[in-house]
Amino acid sequence: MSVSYSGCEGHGEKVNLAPGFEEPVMQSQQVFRALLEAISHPGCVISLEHGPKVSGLSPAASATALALMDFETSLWCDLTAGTPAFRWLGFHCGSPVTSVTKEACIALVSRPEAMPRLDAFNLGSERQPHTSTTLILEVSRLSAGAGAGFTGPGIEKRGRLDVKGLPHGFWRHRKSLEGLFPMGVDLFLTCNETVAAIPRTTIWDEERCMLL
Amino acid sequence: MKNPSEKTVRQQWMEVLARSSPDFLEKSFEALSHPPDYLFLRRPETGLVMVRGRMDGEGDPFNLGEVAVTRCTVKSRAGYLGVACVRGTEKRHAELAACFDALLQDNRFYEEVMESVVKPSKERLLKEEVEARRKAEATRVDFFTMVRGE
Repeated sequence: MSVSYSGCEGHGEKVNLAPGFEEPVMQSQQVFRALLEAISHPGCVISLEHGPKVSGLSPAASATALALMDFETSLWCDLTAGTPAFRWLGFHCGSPVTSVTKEACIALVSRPEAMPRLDAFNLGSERQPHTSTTLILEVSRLSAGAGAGFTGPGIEKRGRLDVKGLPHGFWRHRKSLEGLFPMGVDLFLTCNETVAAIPRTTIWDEERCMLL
Repeated sequence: MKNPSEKTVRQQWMEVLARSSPDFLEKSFEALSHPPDYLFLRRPETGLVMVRGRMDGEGDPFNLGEVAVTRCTVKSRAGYLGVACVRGTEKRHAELAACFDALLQDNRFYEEVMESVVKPSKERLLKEEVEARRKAEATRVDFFTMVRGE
């Protein structure tokens, strides 16, 4: 981040920058554990504590970013450069920002309604599927038990997840990527202090998908 | 392009703070007229950086070796960002240096911190440097070629 180094004697620039985790070691591990919990039980809404309050990000998204991102994870995001959230990410995560979706290791989408299609991101390759993009999508509603159904590894019978704030046709498009497995993208949906994961292994219920 | 050896005023005081003795900073901090309030944006953390050098300041850069540094970023109550990166693993040193850096940007503290911390410390560092130079100078050997007689 840019810091002014001249002409600040006694009148430096005030900054609006929020802190990161209060207890970086413990909390980043607890958040990481919670994210593992979420991704091993797709569609389960997991509460995610310790997320710092950052204007423009939900606490779940800020916690996820702190736990997953560092200087080796390139970031694509739809935040405007210079906003408090953008500066906060740059300072605490130090991830190189890219404007090319295919190059992103992590994509943070604060307004999924206007996001690029999922296949615009890196889907990995047959040989190296783990090089794909992991998406953090900020949704406006996230609750289990209602909404579209899904099955797959980690789901006992059939789960349901009610999500609001995704673009029209999102799940249908995601359905079209299921056949590419092991390639694909993994999704973390964040809302306030909760997170749910939809990894690439999760299969959406065809019938209900057509309705959405 | 600006000459990189030209340091801004802030860079100069940051350097002085980073090279000051932690004990001196601690005492100065306790002696401040208004103990400042600050919060951590990045708690002190220690890591390694590669120090690079150039032969005679001109040649190709080479890696001299790794050195442990401790960095810290604080925000003063007034909202100024204080940054420090100090050599060594002394966490409190980085914290205090960052805190003074934030205070020096605040016109309510600038004069006091400049007079009571930065200037005395800078003088001491200069004195130490002069002393080290004097000692090194005493061991100088001048090589010259004897002129042969006819």
